[in-house]
Amino acid sequence: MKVRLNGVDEVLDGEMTLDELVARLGIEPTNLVIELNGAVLSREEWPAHSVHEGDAIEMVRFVGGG
Amino acid sequence: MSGKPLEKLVIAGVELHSRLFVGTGKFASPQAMAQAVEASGTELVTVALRRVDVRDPHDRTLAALDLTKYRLLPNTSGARNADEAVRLARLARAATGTAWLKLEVTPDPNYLLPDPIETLRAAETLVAEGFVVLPYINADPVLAKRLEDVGCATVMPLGSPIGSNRGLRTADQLRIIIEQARVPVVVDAGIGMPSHAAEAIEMGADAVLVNTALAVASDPVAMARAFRLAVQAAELARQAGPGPVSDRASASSPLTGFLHESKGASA
Repeated sequence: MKVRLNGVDEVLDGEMTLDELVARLGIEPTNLVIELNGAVLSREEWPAHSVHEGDAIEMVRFVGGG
Repeated sequence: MSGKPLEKLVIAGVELHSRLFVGTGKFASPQAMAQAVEASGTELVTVALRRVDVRDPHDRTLAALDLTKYRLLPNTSGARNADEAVRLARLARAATGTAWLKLEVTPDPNYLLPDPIETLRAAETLVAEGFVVLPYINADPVLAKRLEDVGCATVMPLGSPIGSNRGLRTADQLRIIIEQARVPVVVDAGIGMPSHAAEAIEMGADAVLVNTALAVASDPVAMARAFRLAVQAAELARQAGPGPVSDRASASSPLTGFLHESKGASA
């Protein structure tokens, strides 16, 4: 399944929810937030959302900044 | 100098005891940043929101900072217009759990000057969505009032361009903003030395926000300590009630008993 992840085309194997995707990518979920097709989803909401073909996914977190 | 009395610093009902806000970007190491933040005595630190690098997903910039000890102020840096700022703000609230937001809209990469029209547009939307909006603006007194009118929690005018360390080049405009504001005024950007921070507080500003001056100093911890002391010194001066400024001299020593005085012949 093809998705657009942080502005890059990625191919994912099989069905998965957002929390499963985060785990599969080895991303530490602390301070992480996901935008799925424009909708902001906090961590509690990830298990209820599956990834689908063509989805636009943004994974962002806060970092040092002024 | 300002005759403006020093009032408690309260933003959106939260009292802050330090008038020094600190940015967490650009430090040479996470440890240097965490130690400088600690030494500054700040209670409020800014953070930025960025895409995770999926190939190397571990951010270390904040790893050494105990985030439970500070109130976070996420910024919308990178936003070039109101829509991008609003999008970043919503993500920032979800990521940090705070509705406080440093709104910055900087379409010009050379001077990073804030776009006043897009900032005002974004502020209206974000205030309506329940954000506590602290907008980064040029030192424009009319814009400051407009942002206050739409419900911003503070205004944050610049002293000079971000990261320039050039100090309060906008001093005359800052004075007008301070005179007219009914919300806290935070001088943000361009503060390069402790004397600049002290000047802002002495002028009547409620707080200052400093990042680059600490981050690029050879010893960020010592510089953070210097800024802390400068801000405290200026607060103390405000409390002390500064004397009037005058164009003419006013002697400090007694004006009697000079050696050249002569009162005529005596026995």
